[in-house]
Amino acid sequence: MQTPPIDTLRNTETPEGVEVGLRLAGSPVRFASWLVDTLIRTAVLVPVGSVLAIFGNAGMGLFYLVAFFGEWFYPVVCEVYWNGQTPGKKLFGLKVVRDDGAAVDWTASTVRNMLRFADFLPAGFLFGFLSVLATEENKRLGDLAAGTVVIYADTDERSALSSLAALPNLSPAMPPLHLAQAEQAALIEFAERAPQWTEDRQIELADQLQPVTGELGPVGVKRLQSYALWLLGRR
Amino acid sequence: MDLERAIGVLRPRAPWEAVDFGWLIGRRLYGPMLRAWLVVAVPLALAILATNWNRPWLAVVILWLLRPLLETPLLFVLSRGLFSQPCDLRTLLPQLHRVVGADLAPRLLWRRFDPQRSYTLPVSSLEGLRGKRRRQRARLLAQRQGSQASEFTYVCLGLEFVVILGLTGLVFLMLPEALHPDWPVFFDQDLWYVPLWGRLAFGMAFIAMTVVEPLYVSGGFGLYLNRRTVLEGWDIQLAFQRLAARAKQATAVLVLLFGLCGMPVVSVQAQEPAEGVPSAEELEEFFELTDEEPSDAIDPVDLTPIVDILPLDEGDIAAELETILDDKEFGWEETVTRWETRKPAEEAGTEFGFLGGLLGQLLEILLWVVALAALGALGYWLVRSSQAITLPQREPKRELPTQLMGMDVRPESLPDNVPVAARALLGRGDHIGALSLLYRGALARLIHGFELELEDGATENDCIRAVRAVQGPAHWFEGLTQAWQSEAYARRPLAEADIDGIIDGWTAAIENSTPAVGATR
Repeated sequence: MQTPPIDTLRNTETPEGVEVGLRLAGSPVRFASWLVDTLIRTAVLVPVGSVLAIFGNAGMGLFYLVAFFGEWFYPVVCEVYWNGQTPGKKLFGLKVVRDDGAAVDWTASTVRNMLRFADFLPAGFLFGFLSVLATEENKRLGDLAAGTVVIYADTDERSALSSLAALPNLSPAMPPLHLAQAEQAALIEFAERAPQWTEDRQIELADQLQPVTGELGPVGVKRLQSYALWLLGRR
Repeated sequence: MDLERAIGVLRPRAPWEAVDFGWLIGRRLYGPMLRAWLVVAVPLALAILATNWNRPWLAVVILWLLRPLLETPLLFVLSRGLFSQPCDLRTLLPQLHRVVGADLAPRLLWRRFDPQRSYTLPVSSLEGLRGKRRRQRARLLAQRQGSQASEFTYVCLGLEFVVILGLTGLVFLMLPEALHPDWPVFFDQDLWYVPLWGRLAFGMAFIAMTVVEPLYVSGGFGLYLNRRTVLEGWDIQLAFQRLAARAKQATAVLVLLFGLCGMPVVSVQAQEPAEGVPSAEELEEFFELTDEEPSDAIDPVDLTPIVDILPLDEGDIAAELETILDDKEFGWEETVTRWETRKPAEEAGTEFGFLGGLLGQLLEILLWVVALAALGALGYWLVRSSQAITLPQREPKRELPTQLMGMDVRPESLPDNVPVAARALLGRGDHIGALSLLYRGALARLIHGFELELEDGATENDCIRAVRAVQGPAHWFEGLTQAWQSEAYARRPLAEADIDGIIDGWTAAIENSTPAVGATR
């Protein structure tokens, strides 16, 4: 295939030469997390404003200051001191990192949040939305300027699906050929996720590997599970 | 269907990540999707607008209600394009009525308001399930990612508002201010009854739909693909297929092809004649239903002149303005004579006015303090930095050793007159004591006189080298060191005269050569 297959994952190399996979977050979830952050800010500003309104002009002056800092620095402070996450991002399992996967610093976070204004133009974040759609790494204008990306912070879905407890009680067996890492992982995952599938589907999947196991049907499933146990170190 | 032909990487993803994956696929297939959209949506929108030309707001509502009609062609393109199958108009148009018509009535009626409908749409339109089986399947899908599917629908609704708001903003950003409507007046009218605005709103809504709808269907399709990847282990199947191919290659044994082409994974079954396809009568009924809205009750007010007034001639306008502004409505001048106190009246405060004033004063004081502190800090920083640039840093005074080779070498520890004390010890026959005192004394005086650089762990030879390095009385000091070493370490007693000679040399070597420190002692 000419073009690389579509994926939400982007591999990047840290300065230490470690390859890190960043799972880039797109518009919908970021829009939702922005809504949550806005609601939180409003929920704080409304009571603060009503209390400060009692104090006449001085109170209103103070309120405008609070509103100003809330609007512009709430995300910056959260991102710098809270692992790249505002409360809204935390709720949706997102975080901001720099392009190489490093944590955001004051400069990067300030730039990306000050440029929120440019993303807001002409109204309602249209430019930001189009920018996220158009760029390869889902960057809004602020991200482009600051060299940051928004990624999913929670662990990979695969680890959530897998459970070692699901492994059957079989005697381990060595696979008949040398397996690459991805192939080993597929065998182990097959064993771990098998209980979530019907027996028919398990057999269907296991039959694919008849050239390896030499078996068809339920025996093939058991054979693959034995391989997985062996790969997991139960010898 | 061969999973290998998928243009995206199929693997279990987090729900929102699955939506993003759907969007990425939608982005890749944007061209064919847009064409499929336009082919269906433009005639539909024009028809709706034409039949409701004077009730454009009703047209907006109808278009919005009929959205499901436009979703299945997009899904058709997505499902075929994902597996690199032809998905252009040539493949779509011959089966368009089947694609659009699949399971249409429930989709248009009660399922229209199902917030998860982009997620479960493939069940009826791709898997071709109907009735109870469709319901069970949809429930199975929604066990996971259901809440995200709903949230995604609301997010897309929000994104449509973003597009509408943004486009409107853009238009007014580009329009000269003279053409802007007078907003307070504008909102004061019942704009619901202004057809021109309604038609513009219809256009905006259509553009917003054109932008968001393909993304909405893509996102739901992403969720659907993710759920099936988990439910059926597509990622495992792919890995096994590759492993099997490799195993066959490696062993070079001809094995029957298993399953490689056997599994129909996503079967586009929209072609199947479907139960529940709405008849033409049903559709008509539907239209009639929505057409029943009250429309002629109130006369529509035509507000078009608000934007239609364009400047004709500058002189005319100025004159016109003058006459208009002369009207009493725009204020007038009059002369009033009355007595006033010289001191302006106290400003009326709120109930807590005094507190406000107090707070204000406190804030002002605080501001001054902060400003002064900042100024001070700036000054301090300026002085510090200018010093750092201009003045070379004074070297910190070096620590001189206080102990060498287990001996106390501080000048304070010495007797007042070293040679005399040494001679006294020598007279008592204590050779080692005399030499020790001399050596220790000489070291103490040389260290402080020449500021010798000596580590705490320096040896005798280190000391000699250091004395040589500063061009001190090295010769004498060497003799003394040798004498001290042979007496104290080798236990070879020296002649009293030799030691006497070294003591004699003290004055010349130490008193005359070392500057200042301890010279008077």
